[in-house]
Amino acid sequence: MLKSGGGKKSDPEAIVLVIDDDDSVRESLVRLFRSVHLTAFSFSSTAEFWERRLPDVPSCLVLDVRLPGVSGLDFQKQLIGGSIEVPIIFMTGHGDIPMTTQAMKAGAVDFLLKPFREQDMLDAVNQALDRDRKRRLDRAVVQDLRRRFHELTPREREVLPLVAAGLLNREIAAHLGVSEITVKVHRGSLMRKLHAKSVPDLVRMADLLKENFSALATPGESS
Amino acid sequence: MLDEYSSAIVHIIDDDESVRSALQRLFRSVGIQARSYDAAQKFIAEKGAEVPGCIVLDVRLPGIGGLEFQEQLADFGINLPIIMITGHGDVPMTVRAMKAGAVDFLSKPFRDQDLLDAVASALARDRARRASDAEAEVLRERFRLLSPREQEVMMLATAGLMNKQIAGRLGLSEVTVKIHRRAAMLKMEAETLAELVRMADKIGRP
Repeated sequence: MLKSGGGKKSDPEAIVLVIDDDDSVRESLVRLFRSVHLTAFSFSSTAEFWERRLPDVPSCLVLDVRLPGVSGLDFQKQLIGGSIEVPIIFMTGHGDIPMTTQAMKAGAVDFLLKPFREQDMLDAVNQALDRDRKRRLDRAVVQDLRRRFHELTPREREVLPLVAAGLLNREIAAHLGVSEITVKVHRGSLMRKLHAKSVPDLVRMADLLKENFSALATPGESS
Repeated sequence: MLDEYSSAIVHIIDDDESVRSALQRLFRSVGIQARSYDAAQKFIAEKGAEVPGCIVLDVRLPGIGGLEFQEQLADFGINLPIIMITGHGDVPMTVRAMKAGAVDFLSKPFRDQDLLDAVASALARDRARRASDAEAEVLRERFRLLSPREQEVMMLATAGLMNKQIAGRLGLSEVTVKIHRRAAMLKMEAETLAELVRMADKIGRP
């Protein structure tokens, strides 16, 4: 749901998603964000939120801890469970410490007691959006690498860990029972497909792949 | 779970004597060593941070408040995980403590089990940090034993330069570069270039 749409030219650079069952709170928050040229969407419930198709751009959530139906903290758990990592800023009119601690431990960017200073909310939102931008960037790097890895032939995937280990072509050839020329061809091709400029480059890419996709451990290695 | 941490020390910093003794009793009852201090400065003076452990700290301390102390510890480079306790907490205080890295924030009166769980979490965090710091320190120690040339060659090789390029860069023959490279790998105890790259990255990190 959050990932639908892709990054279209018409999409805003970033969006703030407000969930609060109180109309006046929603409206004043949306006004606040628009006043600093932030695009904001608002929802009166989490159910409404799940139904909406949202642009795939840096985002953050601003939500009340006490929502009818689902509590803000349970919603946070649902997002985490669904691997949705949009940063969250909680608001509450009745803060209690266990709730605050729980929310912060689960990764909330901030927890603001109503009535809060507008600047505090804006600071929190900016911090949250920065966090999301960074997360999306890191994720894009990994996804890009994964795409390139999928372009490798099975043979190239066999050669990859041997090159990353620093073996000479001659040694790789002996190991695989092929000619040195064949190894050179595979090596050149896999480096090119992965956009690796050197063996250390390749090592770092291989490690990044392993970290993120243990199922993609290259053959010949234990993951 | 807590019995794995028999060598760790929980440092209790609270100006209320009854709290200090109650917590001492609690930790002793589960086999954890505890030391207590009635003021933040005393903890620093007694250098509590050198052994594995964590801190249980009251937010309202005379002299220096718990939150300022948390910041001061960071400035001193003291990395023990902190659990904040308070009799008069509020949301902004909680948020501030959590953002500054507190493991947990407990409001008095809290359940003993909640504190024990927080301490277990904190000690696990401390142990993990020490392990990774120790690893980095071992690597740095090995690196220090390399000759300046060997260090240069190692950093350039792990940056991706080929022997020929390193030779050109340093004004050495390729043969010399190979010798330095092999020596570096031996002294760093790296069996492959891949291992050397990972070591360089670990050393490179602050």
